[in-house]
Amino acid sequence: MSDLKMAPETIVVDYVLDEPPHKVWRALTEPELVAAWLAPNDIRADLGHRFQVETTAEPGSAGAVQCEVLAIEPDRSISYSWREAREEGPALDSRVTWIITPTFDGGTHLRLVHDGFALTSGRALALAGAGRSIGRALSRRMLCVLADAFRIAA
Amino acid sequence: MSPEFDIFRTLADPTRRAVFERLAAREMSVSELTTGFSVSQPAISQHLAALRGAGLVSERREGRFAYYRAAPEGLAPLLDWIDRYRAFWPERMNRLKDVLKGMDQ
Repeated sequence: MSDLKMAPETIVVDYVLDEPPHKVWRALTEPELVAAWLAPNDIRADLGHRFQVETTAEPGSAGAVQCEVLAIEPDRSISYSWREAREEGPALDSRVTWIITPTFDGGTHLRLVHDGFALTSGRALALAGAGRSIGRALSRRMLCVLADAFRIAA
Repeated sequence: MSPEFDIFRTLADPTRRAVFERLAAREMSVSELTTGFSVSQPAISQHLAALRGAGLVSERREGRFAYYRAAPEGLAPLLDWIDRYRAFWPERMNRLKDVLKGMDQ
């Protein structure tokens, strides 16, 4: 696992796997296989496909995570939105991306990127905030989280 | 009501977000804050009350004047929420490894 120098609220997890890329691709995009490591779901490797993942990352989450395939490149990458419903209050939006790269010995380098906690106007606002003198009170990380809230409201 | 909900709900209002942004830059009085907004001072005061209620803004009194500033520690529950995913994904990826081992070619 390694954190890149990306936005502060980007989660990056890297793995090197013995299995070849196509096998990894299947494990990431076939519902029965995804169910075995993530949660029951109706994922399909089609652009725009909407699906649910019946998992919750924490208490307070309600129901299934709502997803939509945002980008797809068979055997290479898949990106989907990740909307976590809450028992109370608005749903929390982010984005999950899997990137598959072949290794020299026939295995796979798999990278997970969970980001989009601050998109569109939120990102712009966070940058605007970071670009000016904001004093010691608000760290860049805090601004990014603030941007999450903007994103939710957008 | 969970703290996260309070924070999200509070910042869902665009004017309130703008108020929070301005108070993140520096401490201000209500009248200073009202300058530049097409919103009345009582309305700004209401937004401030909501922000304070959510722990996002703190107040300092000086005689009959009050000054406000952003309280970034109020955003901590949101950081906690994101951090839970930092633990969640490696655990799931370990399971994914097991699934791969058990798959047919």
